[in-house]
Amino acid sequence: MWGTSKVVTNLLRSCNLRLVTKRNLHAGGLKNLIQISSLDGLFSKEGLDNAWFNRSKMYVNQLNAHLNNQQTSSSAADMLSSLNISNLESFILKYSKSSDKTDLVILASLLYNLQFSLSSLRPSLTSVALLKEKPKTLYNNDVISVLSSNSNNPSTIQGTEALSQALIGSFGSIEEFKTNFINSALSISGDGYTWLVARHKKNNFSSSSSSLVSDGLFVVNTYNAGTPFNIGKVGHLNEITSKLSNNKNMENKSQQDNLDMMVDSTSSSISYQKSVTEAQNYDRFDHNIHYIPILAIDSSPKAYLTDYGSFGKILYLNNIWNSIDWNVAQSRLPKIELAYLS
Amino acid sequence: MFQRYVYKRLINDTILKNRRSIHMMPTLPNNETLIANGIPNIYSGKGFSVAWEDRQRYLIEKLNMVTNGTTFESMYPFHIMLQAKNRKDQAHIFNLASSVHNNHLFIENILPNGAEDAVGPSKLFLNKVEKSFNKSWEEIKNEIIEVDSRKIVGQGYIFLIENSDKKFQLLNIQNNGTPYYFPMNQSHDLNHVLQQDEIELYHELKEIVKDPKVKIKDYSIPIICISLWDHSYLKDYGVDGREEYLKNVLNNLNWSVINSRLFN
Repeated sequence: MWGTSKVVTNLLRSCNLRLVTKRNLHAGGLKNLIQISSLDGLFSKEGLDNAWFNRSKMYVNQLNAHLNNQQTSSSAADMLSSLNISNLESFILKYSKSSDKTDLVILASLLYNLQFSLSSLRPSLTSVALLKEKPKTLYNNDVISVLSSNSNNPSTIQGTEALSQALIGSFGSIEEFKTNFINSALSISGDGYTWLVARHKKNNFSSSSSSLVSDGLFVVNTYNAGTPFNIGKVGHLNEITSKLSNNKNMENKSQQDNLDMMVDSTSSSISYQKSVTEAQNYDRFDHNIHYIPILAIDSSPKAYLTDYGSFGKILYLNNIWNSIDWNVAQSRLPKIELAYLS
Repeated sequence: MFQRYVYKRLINDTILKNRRSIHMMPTLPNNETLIANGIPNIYSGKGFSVAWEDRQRYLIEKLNMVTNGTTFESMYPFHIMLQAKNRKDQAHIFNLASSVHNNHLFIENILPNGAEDAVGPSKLFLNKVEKSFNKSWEEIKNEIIEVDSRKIVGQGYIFLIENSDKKFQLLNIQNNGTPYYFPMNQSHDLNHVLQQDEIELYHELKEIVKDPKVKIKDYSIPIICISLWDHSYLKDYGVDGREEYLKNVLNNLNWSVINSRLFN
């Protein structure tokens, strides 16, 4: 069940997904995919197949189908010619608000999230006690003993000074961060990802320097095909709503001449008023704030159902924690302002 | 007099004590054979166990944990769902109760028919489909597979409901939404760009919910329920087998259950 043979090597390289399309544009495919050789201590072979290989294949196939079915502008198609993380990120940022590319953005986001969450995992280094059978109830004795045997957490994460410093500065301690991170993932009932992100304000006074400066780390949940980038769904709703009310005003005043119309529509665009929570949300999704993802945990049943069963999500998350490659996470960490680390 | 009073108290106490205080797994007919052999044309035995035994037991155990010691303890999941639907602080209870109910509806309408005679869709059902959609049932099945199921990116359910105008309607429900109360249908995934009509619907809905004087009445009744949660297809059909699974379910529905859900 648990892939005891450690011969599961180069699975990803052998997979080497390609976009097979009628257009030669997409031949690059998923060539630059993250190189996971095996994930012992987290997934069995079948589990890894479901959590990664079959899933990414499915998303790529669906992307191909969409690109072939409908007329996609060549610039958008170009961007998807190689499906690595940075390409997908720029595609999502560019087209996230375009309503005729919704399907493509959804698939790109799903693929991005999946790649990102797996890119920071490695086979577990500590010997993890694994259950022989999937748990059949919530919190049975075996589960509790596994969880408690892993509960002695170090106060720092070895080998990653900068990251542990930033985590302690932002959350208080590694323990607090772990609790926050794992429980956020546990609370997602459907599909979703839990992210560790660094916040970066564009209008920051120190942003003149070439490197990105962040003012702290945060834990964020996204659901279904949501991404941690500042797409602020509430902001988006408000934008479209004000656009809609503009259009309606335009229709009403279609008799008047063009110049009048322009002036009127700008002044009457306030006709939609935000509620208090919406305004608060709008602030939270401030357009000058940008989130830089550092870590992600996949909460979809597709990831844990095969190996851990319906009751095993908490075990899966516990194993994920032991499999995080902190060096990868640290390499993504922007410079943190010292004032926030005191 | 006094004796009689005590006697009455005693009876009341025993009645109170016999009230159900935890939720239990519903027992299906032939549960043992279903676990051993699965549902023909839909599930293997193991697939059935994941989709029903594990999933339902998980939901019920969680529901017991969150309702323990509250007034919800003695209610049916259906009533818990209706009570919790408007309370933001009870969203987790709503989710569990609604999913417990939906998953039960789902397994009921795919249980094997009983070997003797294969029952098909009743004339009433087919007529209603024609009247409501101007399409045949076969066409509607295709529409479910090719249009409605694709609106559910993550987890969810697909419902065919009969609304208060006695017309059929297709509902795609994200995660743990309910077909009984339209503000909690959860048909729209707010994680990506919404189309213009969806936004208009969203604002309409918000206006209705905001007004405390308007009592929302929704008399929808679910006729067919299909689960699109990973638990219901991952084991037998694999990650990319959702459409095949959906086809198999739609072609092997238990029509004696579905026909009886329609009022004659």
